[in-house]
Amino acid sequence: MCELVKFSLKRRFVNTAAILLNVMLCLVLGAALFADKLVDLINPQLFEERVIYLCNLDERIVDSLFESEQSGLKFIVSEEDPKRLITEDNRAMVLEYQQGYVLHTLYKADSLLVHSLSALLSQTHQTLALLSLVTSSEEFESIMSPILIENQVQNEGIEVSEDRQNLIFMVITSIYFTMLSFSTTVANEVIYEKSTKTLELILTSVSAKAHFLSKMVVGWLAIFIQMLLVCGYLLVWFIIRNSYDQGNQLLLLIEKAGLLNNSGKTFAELLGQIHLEPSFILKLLFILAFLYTGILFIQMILVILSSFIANVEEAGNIQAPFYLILMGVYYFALSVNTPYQMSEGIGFILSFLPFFSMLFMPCRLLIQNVSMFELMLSYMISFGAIFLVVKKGSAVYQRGVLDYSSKGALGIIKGILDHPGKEKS
Amino acid sequence: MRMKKISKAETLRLDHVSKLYGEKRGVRDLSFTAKAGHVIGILGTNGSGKTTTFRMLLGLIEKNSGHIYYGKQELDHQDKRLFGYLPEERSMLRDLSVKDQIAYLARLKRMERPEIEMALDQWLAELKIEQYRSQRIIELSKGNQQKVQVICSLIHDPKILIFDEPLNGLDLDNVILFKNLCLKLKQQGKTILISSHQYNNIEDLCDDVVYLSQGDCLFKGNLQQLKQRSAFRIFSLCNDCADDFINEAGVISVSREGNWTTLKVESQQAADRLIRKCLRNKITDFRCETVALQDLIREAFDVRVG
Repeated sequence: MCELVKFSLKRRFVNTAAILLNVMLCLVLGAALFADKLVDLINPQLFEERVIYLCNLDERIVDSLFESEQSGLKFIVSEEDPKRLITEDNRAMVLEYQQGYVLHTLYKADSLLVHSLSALLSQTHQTLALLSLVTSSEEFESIMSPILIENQVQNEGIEVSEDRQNLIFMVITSIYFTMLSFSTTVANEVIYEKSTKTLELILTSVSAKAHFLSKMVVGWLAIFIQMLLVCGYLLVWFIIRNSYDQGNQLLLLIEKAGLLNNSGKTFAELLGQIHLEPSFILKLLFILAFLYTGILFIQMILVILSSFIANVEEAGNIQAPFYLILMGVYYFALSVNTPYQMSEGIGFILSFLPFFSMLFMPCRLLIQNVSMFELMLSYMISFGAIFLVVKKGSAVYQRGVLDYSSKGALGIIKGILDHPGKEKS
Repeated sequence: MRMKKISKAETLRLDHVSKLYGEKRGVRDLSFTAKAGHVIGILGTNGSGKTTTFRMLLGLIEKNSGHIYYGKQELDHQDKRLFGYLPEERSMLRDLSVKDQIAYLARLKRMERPEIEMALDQWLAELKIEQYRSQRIIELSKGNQQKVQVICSLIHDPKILIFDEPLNGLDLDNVILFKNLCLKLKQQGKTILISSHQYNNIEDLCDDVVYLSQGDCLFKGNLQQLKQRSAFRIFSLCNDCADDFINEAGVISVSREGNWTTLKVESQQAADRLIRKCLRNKITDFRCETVALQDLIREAFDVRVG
């Protein structure tokens, strides 16, 4: 089995395409960590404030617009000709009052910007109208102050900073999607070996069970190695960027683009805000453990299904629906990611079921405290399912890899259910 | 190549072995013995059960009933080096180099690197493909790919060799090369099971044959025994002299191919008469032989072969 794993990993990582892809990945990560420099080079105005000249507007409206402090917008009062202003600066806009409000632009303005300006002006007009009706500033303040509702919660969730939650979800999403593609790769490897009839020859030297398990290990290790490589590239670029300006300009760009709120001015400050305390790291490890157990389960199912596929063309019939199911599970997990659903609703139940637990348990861990008993129970169920699939799956796999008849999805299911215990494992 | 003393303990024996995939497909109640240093021809039409027999021997599929013995012990497939298998179709990762492909399969047979290197050099030279050592499989001709497969099946020095349609894709020179190789392996005491559609090509290699049809064994035994089932002889001579012979007693049929006329004769006595007539007429360019394996099978089992 060791030989099979070594051979597969070598074939996967030591080839021109894989090396080229890793070089590209490294460059992309480098570009991401020096995104501010790239933006400066390619389009320096991308995150610059848009100037809106205000012409012929009521003084109170102008004051109100200045007070609104719209991010990404800079208001300047001007009495010059709007046409001349936008010709001089083609990104500039001129808001003018004629018989109504007119926005002068050189090119058609972004509809979102027009709507937000329109909402801002409506709000300003309403405020001014209200001001003319009320007699005292106290009365105005009481009307304008927002009504707050206090939420008294009996089952407290855990307090997780928004930045940290975003970061964890980014990790979960990237692992999940890497896993989808890698699961298919392992299955394709089986189909390739089967279609070239190499598998028959290999099985004269190793048992079907060993071959089946080697595919699992290869798939799992491949993800692990790829993750390590990505982390390595990131670390190298991070160190380079940190020694350059502690990430100051990059974080400024990220903040301007609205990707992270209240991020620190340097990498050190940002990491300080995330609070990497031991309990958080333990939680992260549990999340990774659930994801990797899920990967193993998915790979096993996909490899068993693929063993019945005789050629690459047929592979799509099985892999495409499988891929869609996994995407569906991901979006379903997003849609039920609420404290109620994760505490006692469908999310709670699914967090104990194999295959589903890889996404639902990490979601639960992110929004609430999960007891060690629940974690262990879910993990034991997942491992039990994997053990069962290994035990039954290798016999089914052996029959599948030697079956060269063309099958549809139903034929494959029939093949799996047809006397699974009779073949030698 | 060293000669090996043949031991009785190295006899492969199938005892009432069956493997059925339904009512018709598979193999039913198959028994035969393959001694060390013997070549057994496993013959039969498509779907007759040849590959199923090989797969059972290799442990790829489980038999439904019966026993397979190697020596006195029932075969348990623990010794991964016992069998060398040459599948019917090209079973290689075509993007690999010749060396990597052979080394990969050899390592799966638990061979060590120095052992592989030594055996690889020897076999590449033996099959005259040492110049392709670093070339990718996909770049080789069909015949050379088949030679690489032959090396894959032999490199770990197995005791039992299973060659499924080994002559596919080989030209005449390579057919001769392969036959000579088989004879060498036979002399070394290897047990060889060979299947081929080209019966005439393996006829002179086989000590015994097993003829399968739709999963049933119709004949097993020595090739001479099979030949004795037919009294017919084939008498061939050049077209110029043939006209005086076609009306002789005992001639059943006449066929012409190129410069040669072939007469099918009903018995050895009738053939002897024709030989005497040739010698009287001072004709020395003639041949008299038993019926080819292919025709024997066609005749004996009333099936279309070849």
